[in-house]
Amino acid sequence: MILKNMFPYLGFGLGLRTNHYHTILTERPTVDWFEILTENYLVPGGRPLYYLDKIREHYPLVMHGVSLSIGSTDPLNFDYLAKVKALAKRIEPKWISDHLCWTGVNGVNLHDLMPLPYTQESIDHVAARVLAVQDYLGRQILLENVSSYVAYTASHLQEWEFISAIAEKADCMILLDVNNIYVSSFNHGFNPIDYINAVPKHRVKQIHLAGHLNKGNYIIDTHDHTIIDPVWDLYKKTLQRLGPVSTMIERDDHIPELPLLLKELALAKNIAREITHEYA
Amino acid sequence: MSTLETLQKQFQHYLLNADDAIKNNIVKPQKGGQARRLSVYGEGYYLRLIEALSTESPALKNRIGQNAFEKMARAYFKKHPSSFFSVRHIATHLPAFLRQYYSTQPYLAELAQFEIALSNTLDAADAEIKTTHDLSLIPTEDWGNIRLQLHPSVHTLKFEWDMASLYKSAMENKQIKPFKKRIAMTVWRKQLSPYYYTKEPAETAMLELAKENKNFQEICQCLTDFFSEKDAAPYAVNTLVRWLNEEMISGIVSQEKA
Repeated sequence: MILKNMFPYLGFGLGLRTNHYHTILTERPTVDWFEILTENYLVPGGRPLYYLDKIREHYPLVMHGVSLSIGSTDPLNFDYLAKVKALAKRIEPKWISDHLCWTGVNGVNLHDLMPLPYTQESIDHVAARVLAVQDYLGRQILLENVSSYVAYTASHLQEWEFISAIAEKADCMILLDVNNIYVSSFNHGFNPIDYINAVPKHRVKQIHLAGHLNKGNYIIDTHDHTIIDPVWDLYKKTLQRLGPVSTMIERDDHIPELPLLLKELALAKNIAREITHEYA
Repeated sequence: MSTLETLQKQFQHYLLNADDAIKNNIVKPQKGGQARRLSVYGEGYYLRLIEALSTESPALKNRIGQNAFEKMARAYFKKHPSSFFSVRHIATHLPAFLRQYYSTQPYLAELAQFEIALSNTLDAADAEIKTTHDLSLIPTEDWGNIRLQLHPSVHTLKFEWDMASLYKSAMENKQIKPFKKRIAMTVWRKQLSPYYYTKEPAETAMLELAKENKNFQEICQCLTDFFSEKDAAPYAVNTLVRWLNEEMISGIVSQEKA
């Protein structure tokens, strides 16, 4: 049985990072929820799970993976999924997400989020695998749009058409990374508003915000900078169309002290508050 | 082969072997050039893995230096692309790789092996921690029958080189001349942190017998290879007390005489 539509509005969260463990447990900062990197906790025990359990006592968690490789032509890795399922049973996350990408073939994990060609073949392939994963986990999952730096000649759909078609066909949800939309729109020359306007509103259950590195001719999604104004503007437009969506900030490198991230999170809250007033 | 499968294999071949057949299936971007765009993936692949490997192998990196480490890591990942779902385990094949790559410096493979063992203590399975209080609850006349369960994080490694001095100096970024010395080292987790020490042969024997589920009397008997009969039992008891204080014991099973 697959549990459906279990996606409460969580408010404003942060990515859980090891260098913040102590501060979180001693100061209990005002963060509505944390997103964990699933693979960091697929371990038998010890330090990672100790801190995770402690933090779970005080905060809701969501699980965000990087190795599902939902678009790979390799078979699904059920050993990996069994570990994901066991972790979910342990911490009872609000939801589980991963990326709309592939991470390797022939048993290799490239540890990168590789782009898929936007074709009907990919849609059929990914949707069938999402259905299998959801069936195994007993819950709907969220798939996140990734940043990309190349496009395939085989693609005959826009990215937003691609992700929307998969979400509808597999009946899964979308984790909309607004920064990734900005990055890919810059790299491939499309209008990010077209993307925002096209995604199925009822399927977007979480938003990611992050910083990136502008190399002039292209942008790399590095998660090591603060969020830039154009991404904030895009976030505002996203909320104007979608209404309130659980939002979090990702930082994976040059990770600052927690108060600085909380300041950045406050900006997201302010934008959401403005939008709520507009709605009112 | 499907289009999707072909594209994925070509792209992966580009990352692992610099084969650029994928270029024919990539759109030429308006800005930045096709090769440059592809290299975001190509360069990112190695940089990400090298960074992860240096996190897992800080002493090795210090010992051989940043440049040599990066060169070695590229060769390593060329031969052993990751098959793990987490970068946490990407050093798994490193000791075997280094035995060939640095065949004239065999202590480097041992250093990598030691760092992996230390790292593994951190997320080894949890288990109950027994204390000297638990031992005190067992009547001393029954101690001969007890069997010990080691904490899952406890492991013993045997080295041909003096790993304690080599690891310590590397972590302090000091270069010492490694010297040959057959040693056994125990690694384990205490209070969520990794610990290690070099063991005497008698203690190594004790630990191996405990792992084999021998009872304490059998363990003491084996110690007569190292001590007089009078000294063997006190040594065994003192060592057991130390193991308990160091959180290395998860079970003291009191069993009926066989």
